[in-house]
Amino acid sequence: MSAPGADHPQDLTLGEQARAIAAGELDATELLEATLSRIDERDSRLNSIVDRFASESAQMLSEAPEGPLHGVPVAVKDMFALPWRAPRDGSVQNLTGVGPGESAVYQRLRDAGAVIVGVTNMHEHGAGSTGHISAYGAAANPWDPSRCAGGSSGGSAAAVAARLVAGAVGTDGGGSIRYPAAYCGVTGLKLTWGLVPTEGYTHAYSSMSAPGPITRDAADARLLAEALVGRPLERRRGARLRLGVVPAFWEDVDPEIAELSQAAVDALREAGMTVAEVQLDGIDHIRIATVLRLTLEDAAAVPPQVAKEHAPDLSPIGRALSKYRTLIPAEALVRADAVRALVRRSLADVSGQVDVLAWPAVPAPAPPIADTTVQLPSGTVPADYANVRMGGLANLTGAPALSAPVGLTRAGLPAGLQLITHWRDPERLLDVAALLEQATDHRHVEAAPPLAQATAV
Amino acid sequence: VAEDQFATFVRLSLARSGVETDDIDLAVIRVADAVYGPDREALMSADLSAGPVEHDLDPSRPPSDGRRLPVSR
Repeated sequence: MSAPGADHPQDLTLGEQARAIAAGELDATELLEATLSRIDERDSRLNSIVDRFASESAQMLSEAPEGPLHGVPVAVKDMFALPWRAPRDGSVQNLTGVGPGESAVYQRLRDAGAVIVGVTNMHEHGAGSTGHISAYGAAANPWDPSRCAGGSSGGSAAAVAARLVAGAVGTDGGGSIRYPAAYCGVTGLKLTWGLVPTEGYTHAYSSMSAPGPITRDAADARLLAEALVGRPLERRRGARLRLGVVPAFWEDVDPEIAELSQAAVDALREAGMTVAEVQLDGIDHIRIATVLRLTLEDAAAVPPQVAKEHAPDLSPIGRALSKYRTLIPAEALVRADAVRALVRRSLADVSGQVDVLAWPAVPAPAPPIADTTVQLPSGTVPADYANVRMGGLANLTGAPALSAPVGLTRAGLPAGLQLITHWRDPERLLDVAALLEQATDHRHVEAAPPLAQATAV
Repeated sequence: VAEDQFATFVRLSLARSGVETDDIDLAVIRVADAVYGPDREALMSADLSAGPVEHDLDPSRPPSDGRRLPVSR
């Protein structure tokens, strides 16, 4: 049974697939087979999906309840336990002792009727924004396979951008959903911390990390997010909301990225949003506070004997950085937490003035896998260093944040606009992202990378 | 001279914990410290004493005592 309106069912969105299956216009078994075939055809250049399990996927499909994602294939990042597979965290094995089982993410997807078709590549132990360091090998960007897919959820973003799956689950402890979403030109939502239970999640200890959907557009992100949180996310009119622009986050940004992001803000203004400049406290220290919290939480979560035994399994960079973090003075972490309290208070205060804040999700396009530095007006710096300044606020505060695609640079690389809002309202981000899509005639979310166009079946 | 002092500091500090350091470790740590060290030093020298204190931090919600801005000195 062929899919209506597309040459291949994976060219449909998540919502279109679900509706076509429910209407009897698309056979879920054929969709599963077509999805696995497409992964076979396209992923050799990307390395976005690192494990497949056709028999277990078929079993999920045969037992799938009549949920909102009934029969729809999705992929999950290598951080969640599946009944037949222990997560590896992009390494030889995870270091927090999570074995095979029913993670909360697995349960939520299963209960929504989804079919997990693969595990996605990720930066080793989630400790990078590029995705080029992984025990599985680097994840490549569908817009230019010589460039990074991003990290740490790079495989999830690349798989969605390449139309291997219409939806994938990522996690975000320091921007790890939003950076790859921006690099790959897709929509990535970091949910409010704590909205999704942490059973079977390798970073369940983290006070910074939250899972979320990576999809092509806001409607699909809402659909997958609703499955993850287990409740509907109310739709409202984005045009009535107030958008806050924080000038500091627009400084030291690649000119093309700034231009594309500003055009998106202008489009939202023309669509009816009011736009105002607002200030946040503590911005100067967000980057280092995020890095300190993340790295030291990671260090403390791994039993020393386990860390010692598995040190040889790590990449040389990962091994060295695991040693470096033991040299950080304890006072630095206490100071990082003081910054955290400051920015949390400041975000709460600003939320009385505006509904959503906006700035570029990444300050420069995806760097080459062979050289993961980026060029900013201030000079050349590692991508991780540049990115975490933009993404850290949502992790320090726990607030939800989203990256929406806003177009391509002249070199054909995507840019993303980051939106962040109050803890209680991840829905607002989806409302504003949907408004942006409408205001830009959906051209940014419908843009397909050359790899996806060239081999369309 | 400064670089030698750094290398000695790293090797001896890690050795106290029974951790060996090879040349790759040292090279990576040197780069990481050059990149993040200035930010860390800025944090260490910042006066954060007037900022809010949050003893009951819950990342799933805003600070529990409302929207009060920190008092500036």
